[in-house]
Amino acid sequence: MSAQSAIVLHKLLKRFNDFTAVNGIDLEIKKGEIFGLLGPNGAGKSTTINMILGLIKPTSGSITVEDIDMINKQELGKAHIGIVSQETLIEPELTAAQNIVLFGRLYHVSENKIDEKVDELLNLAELTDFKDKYAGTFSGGMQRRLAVVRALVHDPDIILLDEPTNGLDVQNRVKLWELLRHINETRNVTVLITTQYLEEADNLCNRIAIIDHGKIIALGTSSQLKQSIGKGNVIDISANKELIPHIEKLMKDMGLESAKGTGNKVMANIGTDPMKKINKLLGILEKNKIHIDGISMHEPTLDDVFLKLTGTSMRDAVETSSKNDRWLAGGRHGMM
Amino acid sequence: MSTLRDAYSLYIRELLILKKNFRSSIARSMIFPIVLILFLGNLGSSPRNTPVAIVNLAGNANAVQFMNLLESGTSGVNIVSITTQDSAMKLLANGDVLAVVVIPPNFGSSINSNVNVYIDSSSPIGSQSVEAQIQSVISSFNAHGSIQQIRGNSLSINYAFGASSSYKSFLIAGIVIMVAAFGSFYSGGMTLITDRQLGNLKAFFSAPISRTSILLSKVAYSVTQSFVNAMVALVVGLVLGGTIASGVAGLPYIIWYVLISATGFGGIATALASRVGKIEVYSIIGMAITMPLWFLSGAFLPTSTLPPIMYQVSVYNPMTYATGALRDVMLKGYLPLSTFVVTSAILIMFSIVTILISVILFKNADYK
Repeated sequence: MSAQSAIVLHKLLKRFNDFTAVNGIDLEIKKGEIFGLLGPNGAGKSTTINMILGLIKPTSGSITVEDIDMINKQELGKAHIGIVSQETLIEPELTAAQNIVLFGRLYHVSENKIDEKVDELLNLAELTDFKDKYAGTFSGGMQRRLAVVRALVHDPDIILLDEPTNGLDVQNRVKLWELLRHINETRNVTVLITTQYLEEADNLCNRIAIIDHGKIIALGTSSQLKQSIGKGNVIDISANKELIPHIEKLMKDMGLESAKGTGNKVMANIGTDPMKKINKLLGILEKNKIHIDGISMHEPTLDDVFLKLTGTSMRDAVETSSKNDRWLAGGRHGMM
Repeated sequence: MSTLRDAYSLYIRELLILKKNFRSSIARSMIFPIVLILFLGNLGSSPRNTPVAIVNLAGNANAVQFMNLLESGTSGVNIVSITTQDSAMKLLANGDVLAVVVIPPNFGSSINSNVNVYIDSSSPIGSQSVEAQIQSVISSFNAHGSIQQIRGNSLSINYAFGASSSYKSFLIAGIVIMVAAFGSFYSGGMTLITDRQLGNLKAFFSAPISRTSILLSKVAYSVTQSFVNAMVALVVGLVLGGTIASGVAGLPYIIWYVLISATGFGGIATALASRVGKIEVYSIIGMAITMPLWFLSGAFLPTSTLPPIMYQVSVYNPMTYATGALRDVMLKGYLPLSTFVVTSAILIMFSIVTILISVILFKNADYK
């Protein structure tokens, strides 16, 4: 722990009965950075956020927010955090201004200051014209922007955003990123965001932790993570499922040692001389009478990193995990 | 202190939402009392126009006088047929009449001329009153009547309660307390669950405020909404012909019993809502709690007329005391000081206990 840390998690563990949602996370989020917790649904992102917020008690481990022990001095720590949650957290039955006023009061901001804040924050969210309109009538993008600026009413040092762009279209997503970057730069606010969108982590975050099955499996900047799977571009070969192991072996034999097959795809780092290698590979495949459906080459993505580390594509993981809804977001406990 | 301040901030939020939806909230709260008072409050004080068949074996002047008496006055008997015994019994079996009165030969002139009455005993309320009506006419004749019962298969009269204006007032007291008590289930309790579902509770729990303040704001909102609903019910009752015997002087008492009932039941509703995640389950449990308490509160009948076991239960029902006290104000026109003190003490204790339980349950409740 140091004065440079906004949030420090140490050996954080959470079990729900026999299910381990968060399996011993060590993490240090530096002041002033935009940090992304990237992983599929059910990976333990929301459980981690909820523990930081004091909504769920950790089974073991420690949480420090701005040097405050969140297990024992929760209320003190909460004042440093603004929250934007997975659910649309604005109150639809209140106006935009009333939403901000309510949370200003709940975070014990003085009434005079709240009045100033309302105008300032609505301006920030480009919602000035909608000051006295009911938030329930807003579009999804407007509601999220309101939720984000509402989290700033008490000038927090940190804002936590739990999947803030879920269900938003691309335009609104980009607009929200811009807003978050602006807040991060102009207000010196540390941003911790969870997401299952690779592009979001890639575009927005200074540093990313990839989380899967309750564990952090990779940590670093986007380019560090991409470089970790090897230099150069990545090729994807798609083919019939049954042929995948065969293709993987042939690729390894010809020197593409990073080849890894999942589903109906094999990916590999192509390294230097990509065209030469591709031609060689196609020759080998033809010789072995293996029919492939397609081949593509691209710069490494975070999905490639996830695939390499977990053996499944994150996009696939997002799909399969939605079948496993009961584990989502640690929300399994306590409902009658 | 900060707990109360935070509760107040959250209460303001509830008021803003209440204000936004005020008109629909008023309209909604009118339906229940209107239906109840119109339907229950306007039914006859005793069954009227009870259909009866006469078998006149006497055919003398006494018989004619007997029939006239039966049809006139307060008895409310409606002679629908004068016929033979066989067809009269068929009418009874079909449910076309509730009683068959057989006037014996030599009616009124012989000591042995018993009037036989056959009564549809499958209609307990109807048959009892027919029995009483015929009995009173017969006794005025000094004749000897004997009453027999047979089982019928259908009813033509379902009037359960009286139509006197005093019964309406009697009913209104019960309805006002009921609305005050149960309004909380559909305001504070229900919105606690929707707040959880919408993620609002998560936001509140993430703020540096105590959970007690969140719960207290819900109870305060319950009381506000229930108070509004109860006042609407009272106005509806008065517009539909109810009266307050004590006049305006009784109003502070009415308000007091409405508020304290709403507070106690606000505690129960929020306690339930803090432990039940689904609206459907909450509604079922809420109904299972509220309906028996209502029927055992003396809202429809004085508790003293309840069967012994039910009466014993009604003694432990706080609503009984609120309803009783309100009825004293609205019907008798005065509330003895001792009654006021005792019922108030019971209801205050009830409120403190339910809110304490609710706070404890809510403190350990999940945020979602």
